[in-house]
Amino acid sequence: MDRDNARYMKDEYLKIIKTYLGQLQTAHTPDISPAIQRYTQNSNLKSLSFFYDTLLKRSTFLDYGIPKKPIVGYFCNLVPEEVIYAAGAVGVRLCSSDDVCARLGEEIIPGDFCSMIKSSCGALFTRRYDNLDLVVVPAACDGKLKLAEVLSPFKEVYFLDFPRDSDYLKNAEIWTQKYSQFAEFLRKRYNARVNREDLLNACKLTNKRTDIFRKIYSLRASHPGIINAFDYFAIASASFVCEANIWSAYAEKLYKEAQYLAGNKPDFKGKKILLAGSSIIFPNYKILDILNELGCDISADTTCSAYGRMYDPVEIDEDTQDGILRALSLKYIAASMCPCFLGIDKLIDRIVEIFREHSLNGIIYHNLRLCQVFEMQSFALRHILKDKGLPFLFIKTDLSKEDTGQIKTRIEAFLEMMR
Amino acid sequence: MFSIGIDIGSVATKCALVKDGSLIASSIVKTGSDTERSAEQALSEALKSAQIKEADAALVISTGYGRRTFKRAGKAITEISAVACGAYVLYGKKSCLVIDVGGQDTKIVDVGKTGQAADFLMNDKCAAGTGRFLEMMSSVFETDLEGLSELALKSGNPVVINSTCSVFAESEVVSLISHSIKREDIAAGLFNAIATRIDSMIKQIGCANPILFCGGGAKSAALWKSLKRITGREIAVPENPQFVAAYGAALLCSY
Repeated sequence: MDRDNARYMKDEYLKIIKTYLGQLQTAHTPDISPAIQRYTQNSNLKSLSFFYDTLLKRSTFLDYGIPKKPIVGYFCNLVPEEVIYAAGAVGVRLCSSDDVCARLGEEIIPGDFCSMIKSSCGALFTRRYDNLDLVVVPAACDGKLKLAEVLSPFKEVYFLDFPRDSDYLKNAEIWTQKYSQFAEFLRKRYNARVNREDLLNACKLTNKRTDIFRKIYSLRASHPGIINAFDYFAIASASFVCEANIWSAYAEKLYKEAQYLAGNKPDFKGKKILLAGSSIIFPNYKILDILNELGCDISADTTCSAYGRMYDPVEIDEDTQDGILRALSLKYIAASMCPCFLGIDKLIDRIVEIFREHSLNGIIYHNLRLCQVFEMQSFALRHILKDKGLPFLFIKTDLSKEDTGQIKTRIEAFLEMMR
Repeated sequence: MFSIGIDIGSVATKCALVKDGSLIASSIVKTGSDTERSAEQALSEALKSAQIKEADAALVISTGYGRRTFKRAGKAITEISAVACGAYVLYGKKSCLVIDVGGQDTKIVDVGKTGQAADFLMNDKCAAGTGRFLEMMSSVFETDLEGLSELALKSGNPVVINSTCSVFAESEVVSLISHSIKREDIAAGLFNAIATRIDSMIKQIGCANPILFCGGGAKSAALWKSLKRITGREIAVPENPQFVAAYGAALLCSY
């Protein structure tokens, strides 16, 4: 948007936003706090409270608590956080799944649009973007692309575009080039070096996080129920708004606690589910709460908010600056299972592999309503996975709670099917 | 020993008394605002008509959307498993495909060789294409489901109605009426609209098993006719289509 249009639109948006000021003390769906209380009280894991506290305090960013370092917000799991760290900034992932924000977003974005986009837009009303220095938006879906335009009157937006084909051999060079341009942009903006050494250090930071995440992931797969799905996703969502080293330190503590408890844990009697599909981001834990109530566990997932975000390490073959950036593109783009990319086979292979590796009982494919690309591939998934003998359930829902009863019936019937 | 299945649906609460696999007695009451009371009422009516005491019955299993509110039930199962079991037994213990058009849900259940659901699809949280839709459309014609169905059967030239959303369809119907389109042709168009929607759900499940049509919607001969024509398949309707889930729940007592 050019300067005049941006200025005009900012005023127009602010007129709407101002009508809400004073009414919004917190950005969170009101019933999330009692739910968190319930989960922390029922858990033997003391370190959990750090993750919940972080989520409650920081996902509004009113109190980010890190002075002096610029905060760079980004969307999706396609922006290399390591490059942001290497530039001496802190990265926070902005993808919002807050129902309150989604309803506010409808003041600006059409109601029949993806609720994550609406929610990310509605977060403007809760001053979520105030403390950010920059917003990075990747070329994922069309919604994100246009969101960049809505946010641009408020914040400087860096648009990271690349081909929507996750074929590594075909596109690695373009990705590396795009990441390199992004590094150059940050270099100038923050007067930073962002050289080979800085990048290597940043990779160490996120690889450490991956290490611990993997430990938690395998402990959960081998000891279902030890860290329930609600807590697991809270741990993952907290990493959106927490510096990697701090997150790693607490996650390590939590892992040790859980490992200790795993020794005395009685056998898990419920079903072990693989959760695929749209991301599960705080505070949209409706499905997790239902699954927990029905006594089953998500033992594995392919979502970009947990497994997809932290399971893959940066694997550097060639430690030149371009080599590192290429390795980053492999981690973020080539490994992406986002339906915005061509390549459903990757998702199918991954689902089958994980399903068999952990001897799971069924697959739930979660579709955030109005995310057309996720829904489009559900038909093929249902048929291909059924053909392979893997029980499959498709759940389409949004951030609101009104269909809780109906979803519960579907999941319950799915569990009865597996008896 | 008797077993009892109670299906607390959004519109009606059904009770089935089963002995040795056969339906001995049944009752149906309107589901009121107090679902537990509706269930008690249905239960006592069924017991009365069979002239037996509840103490003579084995387990009571509840199903349907209000299944959890009936606390006295020994067990609650989903209507999907219940309808699968009921249909399986009614169909001679063979795998089949169930179309269940209920008050606020339309379900397609692929029933496997063991009588368990192998796959299922339900309409979205919106009640488009369900019994509720038919009820609302009936009221536009100032009649009930039976009346609407009779009207539709007289049609020689059904109109095409695109929407199964009750709000959109109502305005479509009102506009058709104002264009002096025959009432029976509009009514038949409404049943075709639902049947088309159900047909696409069947295709999504992708199941070639013989079809059994049940739920309150199966009482409509017009919907049955539309379904047969649009799916191009044979569709069986059991004797008491509304009781299949309650019957299935009662049968599950013995499992």
